[in-house]
Amino acid sequence: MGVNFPDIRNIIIWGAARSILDLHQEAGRAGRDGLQSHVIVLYHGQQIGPSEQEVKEFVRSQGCLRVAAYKSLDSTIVPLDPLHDCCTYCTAFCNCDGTSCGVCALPFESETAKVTEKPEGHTRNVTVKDRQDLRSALEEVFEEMKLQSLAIDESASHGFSTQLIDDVVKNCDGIFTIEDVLTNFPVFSVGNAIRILEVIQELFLDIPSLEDTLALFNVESHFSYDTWVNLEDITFSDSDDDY
Amino acid sequence: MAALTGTADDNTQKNIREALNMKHDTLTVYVSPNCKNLRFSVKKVKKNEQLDELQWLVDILKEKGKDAPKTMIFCNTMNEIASVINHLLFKLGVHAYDQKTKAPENCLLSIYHSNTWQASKDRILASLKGNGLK
Repeated sequence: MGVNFPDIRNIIIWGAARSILDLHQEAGRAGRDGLQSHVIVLYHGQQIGPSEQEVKEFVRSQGCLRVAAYKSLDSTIVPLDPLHDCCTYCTAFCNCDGTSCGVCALPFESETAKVTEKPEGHTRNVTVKDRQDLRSALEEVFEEMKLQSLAIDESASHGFSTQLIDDVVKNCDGIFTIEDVLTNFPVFSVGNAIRILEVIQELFLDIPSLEDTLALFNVESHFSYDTWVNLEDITFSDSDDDY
Repeated sequence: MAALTGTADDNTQKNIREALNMKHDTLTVYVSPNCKNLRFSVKKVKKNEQLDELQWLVDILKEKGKDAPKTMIFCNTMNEIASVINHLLFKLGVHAYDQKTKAPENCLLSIYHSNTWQASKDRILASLKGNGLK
């Protein structure tokens, strides 16, 4: 970016960087003003697959994270004093009060509050008729894609298969976010996920702030909504038909 | 002649010396890249629980709005950006906006990518210099 923001307090590195230098580039955006800032790496196993060995050693480090992060760049690196300002590993050994350390655990270190069910109605009532409508709407999108993309094989170029339509129709009572689509169905592009969400929205009008999400993706919605349905006005319950 | 570089490991330093035909006993001034005001945390999580790890950020944003500490999230893929921003917006609901109106300039979150429109980039940069977020 080449632009300097002095007061970034937290850097969250989602899934670790590809190289240790990238990681330092990202981490270095925090605390340009010299005040205490945090670098938080959050990852799961698959995400570090493509990362270089040094990154893997860093995230798997069983000792001081500062030493692990800098050792390839600075052979004389040592943990920071006071230890509670060094890293999560060193904090455990900090006894800056004489025998213990009074620094409280930071918000992201406390055990993640178990998420109590997904928020505000994560299923919707879907009738048999709704499912039929959804199927034909999705098939329409599918046809349109076929024409546009000149696909020879049905799902060759866009990955929008009839199997996908079946799956979405079957599970449409629980689809509310792009994430829902991407994690539960074999959809490999955000674009297709958005198309599916839009079709669902068109039919059910109960996805909060979909337009804003799309705006953030700089995608223009394929249709406009005349009415916004207020979430509170709808009662959600498990679908009771025989799907 | 002087060669200046930032964050170069031994290999990179060697490459630079060779590329510039510098002698092996070249005077080297070394300053550690150690940022003493950064505190490091690493957390390995289960794939399906990764988004829940952002709950603290959601709580801070709900409580402090635009006065929340500025935070950047670096993702490796577009899909990750999508799921993170989607999760945060969904969890925050109306709290994702500084004011009642849901105009982009009131949103506390935004995506900054090389493909982001210039107008949006300008808005985000201005916001980061002032008191925006992400």
